[in-house]
Amino acid sequence: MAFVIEQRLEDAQHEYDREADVLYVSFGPPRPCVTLAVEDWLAIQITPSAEQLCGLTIIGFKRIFSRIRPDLIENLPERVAKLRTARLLVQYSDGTDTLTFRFEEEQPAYYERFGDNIYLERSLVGREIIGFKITRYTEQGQQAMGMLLSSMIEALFAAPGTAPSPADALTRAFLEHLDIPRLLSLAA
Amino acid sequence: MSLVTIRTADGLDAVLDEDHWRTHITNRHPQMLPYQDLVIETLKNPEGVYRGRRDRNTRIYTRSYSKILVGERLIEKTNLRIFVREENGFVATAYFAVAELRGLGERIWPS
Repeated sequence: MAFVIEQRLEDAQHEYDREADVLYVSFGPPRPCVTLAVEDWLAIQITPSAEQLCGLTIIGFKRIFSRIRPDLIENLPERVAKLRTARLLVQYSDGTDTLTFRFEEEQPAYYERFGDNIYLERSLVGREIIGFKITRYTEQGQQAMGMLLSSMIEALFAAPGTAPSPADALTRAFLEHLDIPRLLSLAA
Repeated sequence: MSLVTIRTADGLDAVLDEDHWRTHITNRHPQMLPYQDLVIETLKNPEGVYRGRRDRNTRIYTRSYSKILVGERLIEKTNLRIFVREENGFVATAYFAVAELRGLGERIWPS
């Protein structure tokens, strides 16, 4: 079952459908894809064979993000431009039963425990989150992914003044990359 | 501009704009192109209608389908989701979901 999926996103494009208030971000030319519904407002498209990320769709983009992250709306073109420099790497090792997910180039880093079998990978310089890994993936991988995503979404919608948690940092790291990573591993 | 108005199961007049269907929905989700009839069927006869969790003015119409062709791959079981603006019935987008991480929110039909 061991696998390595690598995808560069230099062809990332976005289209904001003002009439419908829907944001589409695509990687590569439009092609038939299936959808993983993360939330009712956030959907990720992957190829039916689950080898490539096609894009993501945010329904109600301005109505939702104007309340919680207006900067994301204001800086959208710059964020998509940054996305074009990103590299996603999803790797599963049979020997260690570990899924590793990285959305920055490999660099000196350390791991910080996030959950029972979830570890955030932080760069030594700057302590930025550059990925994560999930151990005991065969038995607990899906549950761990659910926990990661739920924590991030809860952090995104937390009431003002809520004490920051590791989930906040993870959410910020993903938003820096426009939320796209990780779903490849759900589909794997 | 060609508009198709569909009276939904929960009494909304949903508006499917042909231009919007072609230039946005199927342009970005090309797998939907052959399935406009399923969109209309789902609006008329959904299995459920839900209110958006984060955007309360969005209604989500769902219906399960089997053996849907996506590109060259036959998807055995999938769920069609259609997103409609409540204030004007505008059909915003639609897709086939093969997996969902979190269930839909408040079901408003059947109540």
